[in-house]
Amino acid sequence: MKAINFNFFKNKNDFNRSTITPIRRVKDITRNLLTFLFSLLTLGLLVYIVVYICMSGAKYLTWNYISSDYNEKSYTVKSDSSFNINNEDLRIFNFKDNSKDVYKSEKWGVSFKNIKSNEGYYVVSINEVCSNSYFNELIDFNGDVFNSYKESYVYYLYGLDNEGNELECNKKDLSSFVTTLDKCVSIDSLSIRTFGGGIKGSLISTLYLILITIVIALPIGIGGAIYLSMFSKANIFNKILRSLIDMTSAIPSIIFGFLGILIFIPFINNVAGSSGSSILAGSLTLVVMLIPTIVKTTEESIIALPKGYMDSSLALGASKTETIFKIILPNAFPGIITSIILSIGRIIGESAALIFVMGTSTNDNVLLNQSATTLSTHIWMLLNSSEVPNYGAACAIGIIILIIVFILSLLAKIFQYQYYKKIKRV
Amino acid sequence: MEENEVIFKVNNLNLYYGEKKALNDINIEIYKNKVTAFIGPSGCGKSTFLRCFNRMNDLIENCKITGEILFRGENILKINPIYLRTKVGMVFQQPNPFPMSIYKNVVYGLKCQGVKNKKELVKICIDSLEKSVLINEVKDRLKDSALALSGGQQQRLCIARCIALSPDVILMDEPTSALDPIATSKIEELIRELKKEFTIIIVTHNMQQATRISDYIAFFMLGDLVEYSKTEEFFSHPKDKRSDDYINGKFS
Repeated sequence: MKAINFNFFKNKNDFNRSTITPIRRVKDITRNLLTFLFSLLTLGLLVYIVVYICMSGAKYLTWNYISSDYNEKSYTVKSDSSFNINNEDLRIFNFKDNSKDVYKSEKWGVSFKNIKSNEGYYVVSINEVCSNSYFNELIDFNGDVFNSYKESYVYYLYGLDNEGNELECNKKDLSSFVTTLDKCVSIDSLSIRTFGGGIKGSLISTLYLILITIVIALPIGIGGAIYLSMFSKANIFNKILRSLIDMTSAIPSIIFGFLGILIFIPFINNVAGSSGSSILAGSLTLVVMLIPTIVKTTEESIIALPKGYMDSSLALGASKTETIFKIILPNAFPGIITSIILSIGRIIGESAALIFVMGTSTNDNVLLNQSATTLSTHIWMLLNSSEVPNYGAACAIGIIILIIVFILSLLAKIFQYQYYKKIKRV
Repeated sequence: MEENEVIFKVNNLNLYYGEKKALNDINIEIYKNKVTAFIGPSGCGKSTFLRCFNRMNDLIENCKITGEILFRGENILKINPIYLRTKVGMVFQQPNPFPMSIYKNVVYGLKCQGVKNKKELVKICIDSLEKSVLINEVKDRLKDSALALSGGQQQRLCIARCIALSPDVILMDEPTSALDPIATSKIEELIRELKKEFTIIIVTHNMQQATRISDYIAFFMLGDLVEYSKTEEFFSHPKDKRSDDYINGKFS
């Protein structure tokens, strides 16, 4: 037998001349270049957005910002009526923080510092109150001793000096405030405010919203997926149902906002006794929005399963329902996880519908039948309500959203990896 | 033929897919503890006919069956299909174990039937794996995923899963067509072993395989049962011209 002559293919020149004409080559290069260009453009845009958000939000993103209330709390305290600091025994104060930018009042045993508030302007914050400080003996207007100075700043001060003159200071200037305080022998009234503008309330309401929405939407969506993939016959009703589901996922969310106002807010008002927008109404609106997504993703993962599973399970004497719950659903698990992740992403990102249904006033004590803001509507509110939009604070929320989404996708990947590892498919 | 006990008796069976008639007036008797092979060209209705015995055709929309199939004197078209399928097991073309452990695969059918006693389940599992000659290969890893097994092992696991329900009949739909020759010969050996205890109906495209393992041959063409006779007779003295042509490869 004669060996095949491979030299034919090795003869490069011959090969090139016969097949790759210059025009084809130019076309190929153009297509490749275009592909690379657009991929690069996409990647560049994504990186730019993420980097921009991180750069402008990073300096606002402090633990204080995440964990503090949005609404400021204010307290007014004063010294005891018979108090005069010159009549007291001399006290030695030990300050722990001796940094350069801290102004200490050696007379009262308090130190102050200029701090940028969550809204972005400088305030005179109370840095340290020594344990034996006179500030720990101030009383509030009920006559109780007040000593919770943490995370707060000074708003104004009225005091009496040695000669009985009234002194006043409401400036945001640190040194003049400390000078005024040091002249005082007793305090008539000192107004203290906690730092507001935190996003604790929005963060918690977002988590509540995700939890309630998923808990309601997931069973309904999975049920729909099972019906469509396992029970539905190819009749006109099911065709309409399918196209409705496809269409629903394309409806803009603001339309669902109207739906929420017309149906869910009155419903929740009747059931949960709330007035107007609430987290519950918001989550019901989102349920309607998410069901198509969940149905589609779950159905796709059910259809992708080997057809043999159903047949062989039935051939082993299992009923159809047993097959669905013991074989089909456990194996559609990765698809269900994907649908949960997609849904959570949608919930976090949703703002248009929720502005109507959940309201735009941040609530620090989150209640399910009260209105609240999610992180997204909080961004909307920050950029919309004040005269000077606070982009930095909004970007800080953006970073938190990015982190949540990143963690969720990571979790989903881990779940799916564990699942496939268990059944030896990796 | 008369000395054998009849387990299935099919009378005037017609099967329609919508308007199309797929099986045409079939009359056949299947004998107990024998291997009956259904052969014929593709699309001749042999797999469809096989699926009538455990009513898998019920799943197909527009599928209508007339006539009767008597299983020990009882018309299976009238009885509960779930009960029927525990008595008439089926092995498919593609080995398709469920993505769970070997043990769970074998006891799946039993669990669905409501058997809860763990000891009993383990005993039946070991027993079925022994009968399907798989036990030596998997006895240390019953808790491992069934998908880690090779194709031939998976198919034997599917047979074990079927045996676990202790059926009377095992239907096999081209069980070796997705397997390599070594795995195929193992399955064939197993079938010869299993016929002592079970009645086996097998659909095959491979005539050598039919010669090697079957006792009876039913030859189908275009929805008709052309010839049904003992294997030796069928291959040495085919009664029908069409069988003769098919054996000699004159058409496919």
